[in-house]
Amino acid sequence: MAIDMTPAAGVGSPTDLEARGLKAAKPWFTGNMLTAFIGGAIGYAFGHWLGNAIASNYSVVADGAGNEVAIYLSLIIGCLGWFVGLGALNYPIQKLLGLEPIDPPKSEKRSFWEHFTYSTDHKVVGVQYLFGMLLYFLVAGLLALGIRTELLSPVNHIWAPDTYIEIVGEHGTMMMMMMTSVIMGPFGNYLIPLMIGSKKMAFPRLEATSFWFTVPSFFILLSALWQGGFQSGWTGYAPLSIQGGPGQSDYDVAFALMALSMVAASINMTATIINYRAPGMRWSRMPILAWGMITVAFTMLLSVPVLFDGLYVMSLDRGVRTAMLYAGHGGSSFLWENLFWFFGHPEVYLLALPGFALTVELLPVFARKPIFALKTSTAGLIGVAVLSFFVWQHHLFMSGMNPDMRPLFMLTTELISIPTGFLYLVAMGTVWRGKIRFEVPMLFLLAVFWNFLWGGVTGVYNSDVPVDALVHGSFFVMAHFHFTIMGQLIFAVFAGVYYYVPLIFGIRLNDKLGKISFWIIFVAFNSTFLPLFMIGLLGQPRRVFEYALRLQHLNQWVSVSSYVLGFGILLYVINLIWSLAVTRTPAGPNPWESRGLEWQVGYPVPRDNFEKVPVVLRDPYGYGTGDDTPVADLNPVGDMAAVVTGGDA
Amino acid sequence: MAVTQEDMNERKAYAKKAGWRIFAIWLVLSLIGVALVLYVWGPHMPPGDMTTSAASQQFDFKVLTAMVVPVLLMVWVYGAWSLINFHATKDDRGDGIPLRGNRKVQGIWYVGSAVLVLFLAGFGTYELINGNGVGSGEGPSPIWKPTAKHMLVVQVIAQQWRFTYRWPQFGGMETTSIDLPTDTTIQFDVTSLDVIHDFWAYQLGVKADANPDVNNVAYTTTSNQQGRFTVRCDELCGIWHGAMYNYGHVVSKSAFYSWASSMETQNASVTKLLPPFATTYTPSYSGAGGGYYPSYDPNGHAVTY
Amino acid sequence: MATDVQSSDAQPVIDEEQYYHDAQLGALWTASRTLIPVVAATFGGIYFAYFYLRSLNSNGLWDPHGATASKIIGLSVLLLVLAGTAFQLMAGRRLRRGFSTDFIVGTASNVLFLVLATGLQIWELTRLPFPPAASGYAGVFIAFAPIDALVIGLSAYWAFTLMMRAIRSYSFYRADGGIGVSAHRAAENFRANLDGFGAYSIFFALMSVLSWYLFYVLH
Repeated sequence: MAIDMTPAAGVGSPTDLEARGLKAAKPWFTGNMLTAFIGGAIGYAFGHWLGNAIASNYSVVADGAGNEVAIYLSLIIGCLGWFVGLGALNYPIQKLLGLEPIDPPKSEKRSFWEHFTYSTDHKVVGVQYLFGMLLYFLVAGLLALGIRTELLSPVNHIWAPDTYIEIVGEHGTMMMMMMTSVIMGPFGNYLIPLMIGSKKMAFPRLEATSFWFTVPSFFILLSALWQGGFQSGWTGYAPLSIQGGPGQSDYDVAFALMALSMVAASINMTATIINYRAPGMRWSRMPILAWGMITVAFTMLLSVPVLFDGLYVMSLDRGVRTAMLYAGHGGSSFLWENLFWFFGHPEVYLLALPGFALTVELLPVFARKPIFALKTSTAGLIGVAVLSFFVWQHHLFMSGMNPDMRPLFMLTTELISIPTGFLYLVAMGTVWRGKIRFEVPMLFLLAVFWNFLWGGVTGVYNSDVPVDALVHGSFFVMAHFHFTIMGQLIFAVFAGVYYYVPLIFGIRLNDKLGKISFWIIFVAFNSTFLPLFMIGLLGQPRRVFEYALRLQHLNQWVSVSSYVLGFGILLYVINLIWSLAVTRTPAGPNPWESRGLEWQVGYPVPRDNFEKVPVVLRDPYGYGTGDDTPVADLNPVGDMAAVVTGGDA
Repeated sequence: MAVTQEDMNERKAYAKKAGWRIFAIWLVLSLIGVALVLYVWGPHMPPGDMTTSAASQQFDFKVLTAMVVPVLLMVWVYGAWSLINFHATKDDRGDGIPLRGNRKVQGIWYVGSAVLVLFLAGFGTYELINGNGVGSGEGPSPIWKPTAKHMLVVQVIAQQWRFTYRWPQFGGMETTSIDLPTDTTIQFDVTSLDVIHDFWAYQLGVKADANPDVNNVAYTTTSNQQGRFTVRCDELCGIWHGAMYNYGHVVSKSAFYSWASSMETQNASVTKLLPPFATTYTPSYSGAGGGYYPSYDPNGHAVTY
Repeated sequence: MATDVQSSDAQPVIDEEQYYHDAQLGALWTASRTLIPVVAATFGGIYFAYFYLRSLNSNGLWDPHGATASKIIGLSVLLLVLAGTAFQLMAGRRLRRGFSTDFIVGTASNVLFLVLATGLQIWELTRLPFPPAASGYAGVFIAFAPIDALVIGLSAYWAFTLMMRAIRSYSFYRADGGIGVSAHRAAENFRANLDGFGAYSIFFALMSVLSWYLFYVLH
């Protein structure tokens, strides 16, 4: 045998180094967050030097307008250095030598330290994502409280106007970046292989990479705060964004890294769901969360590259002084609005869809009934995903761009409420004559439907051009998307975390604290955002630090509610951390009595998820049918294949 | 598990009984809710009826709310019924009835939601065209124009961080304040000198983005109401976005003409220095655009005013 | 494939290695085909910018003097990509007939052509007859060229890894008749990868023609 085809031939694997007695060298050669930071710092410095070497003679730079080339190059090469330090590039470089592709090694026992390394274990990546996204959420949430503090008074200001706009932009961008991955990241990565009965992901390295993009992205975005921030908010409208300082470059690079993360995650997700389903896991038996993930992945694959283009175009206009977004030199500020919203609108649906998929996934467990109209809910997901590509100009009804197209975009936007409405049909049918268990996750799920109802119906107002002429750009719109995204997605995530902690960590959260935190979050959330509809209708535009005196009482009410909301979320997080680190109440296997395949593997989830390739026999929602046999055979033997091909649906 | 005929009958009977009750509660609450929306809240809904476009916006808002209230109530009444009746107890933690779908219910839902949505889209389109854009920005060459023969043209020029107004029918003067006459159709030509702003005259029901190098036209017709209106910038335009607002007044025609002619005389010396009236203004290459681009024109493209 | 287990009727127990091997082949197929819309969407955004600015023609400044980037370099990049793709496809056909050496030579030429194309595409940027802010066309071209260079460069990387795999395993598969015909799983995996690259190459060649037409002919 001329070449070693066995997986053990992997260079740089931990076991390999240990075998050679290089234990001390291990952290340095296998790569981790520390080496990644060092690599990033070296790359950053090199990029800055390179940028100065290239561009310091440009007339604009010499005129003192700042050297954006150096800033972009330092961030990009810094990110490259980050991945070198992380060890993520070892494998691509090995491939240059023609080594056979190998499954990345999995450690025998998961260690805490592994979460700070470039781990290709989907369970580790899921946990990394969970805490990474939690960090995003809490930082961005703190910024939201900063906004509300400023709005306590229309005349007395806490922040300078530039600081205020920095905080608003930072809050919006960080939240929007986090929301894209907050379900696909933790739940998609951790659960999809378990749900579809697979021992592995299709592209574990791509999966790990998708997480490690989000880390430099976070730090780069955060660093904008002490570089003057970006004045143009998360929407980055040109030419305002072209005026901005280095903070705007941070926005470009951070958002672009997130875009790469989304593409990497989506390619892995589609390939896994299509190809790695266990025998018998037909499309008709596939859990709705998996449907949500594959729909969202396809939506991302088609829309995210356009965001990347938009950011790239903006970077070129800022860095090398092209004029694509500047009408005075043959460009157009409408170009950015089109590129951005062509991504931006599918984006808000690809935030909402996983939330719905997760909600519908968990609902039957607590209603103790099968999902009502399962195919309709799948059709709803797909319908929303498809239509979401045809609605982007409804953000631009007032812009003066293509005014004669507005009836069309009004129609498509109204149409999208049909598939969205399917999810209400499914939920309402599912609770009918169920035996609802009001556990904490179920409370969050029910709240999803309460919240999204407000978000959904106000969406109809926004899509109606005459009413949009009143509400566009006002706090009404802001309240609308906080209801649809926070009220829906984040509540679903709260339910999901609470529900899956027993599977992931083997512990159960404190129910009493959970219920208290739920009620505080739910009441304070509504008390924060319902008055904002009114504030918007009464004429308060978004992103202002001064408003009409007559709106002060409403604004104060909202600000105080937001502090309570912050406290509620803090309580939830404390419950999570406290239960994880201190009490560690064991949850026992399958505490929610779910029929899902993911609960059958037990805790801790085995290294390879399943002993053998399982054979799936039915869909996981057969509650109340009196058929208590499991959804899958974990030890298929003999003539199982015949059962699979002829089994019930 | 096979479902017995007895089970089926029980399910049907229960669905019928409960269904009628839910429907009755919903109907009563909906009637009350819609009546409240139309007659109690309706007349006070923002943004009032100072102009035709504001009144159209108010009307649309009213119609939408009247349609939305029954939808909200449907989910709430049904949800409350379900949560009260279909929950587990300490003694009974069994499973529910395994219903996987119901063709009739699903069919009604599909058709119902489609009809509702298509109606709303049709209604919105009719209102948009009939209301000549309902005060929204219609781009440089609007297709839905008012039929009024004489329109007062007001050019709104936005820049960081203020609005100024030019009056082509009054010698092209530029003012920092805005007064409008009653009972007049007004054409707003909205443009910007730097970044994207948005001209939002709240009580007038006018909202149009101010884009650099683009003329964005919006129409409205004032009624006989006089009073103050607020103008705010509604698109993030930089650090002082929040402070970019001013006030205007709708006054009687005679008061307007005396204001306008006094302004015209007062500003005559300044008006001479302004570039001639145009729909858009490209900042000169002398750096007025913020000094961002090089101060020479790479193509020898002359900018004349 | 996941649902297709009839074929395992003959075997009493699911052959796990075979199962995940098949899944991996399927994943390679899926990923290489999803790469096509992703790359298409990336270039699509730039084409959109192109057509948008061209039709708006703000201030008559889309392309006032009809200046383009160097047409000779642009044509050379296109021809290199086309020639590389043709060589690659022929190399693939030879491989399946068992001529591994031909494959290695063909792929090596493709790599060479693509690397040259990348270099030319970057070099072209240093020889532009206009400053970046001169016109709408100037901006869109400057956006297009680095992305094009990057994508061509990554194609070269992909081709290079395939070539190296073929070289490294050359003697291993000699007894089987070459990596193009061997029934070994690793050879099947290689062929799935190569097949994905072939599909992607054809797509990219077509898109290169479109890019060339837009930026050097239509503009």
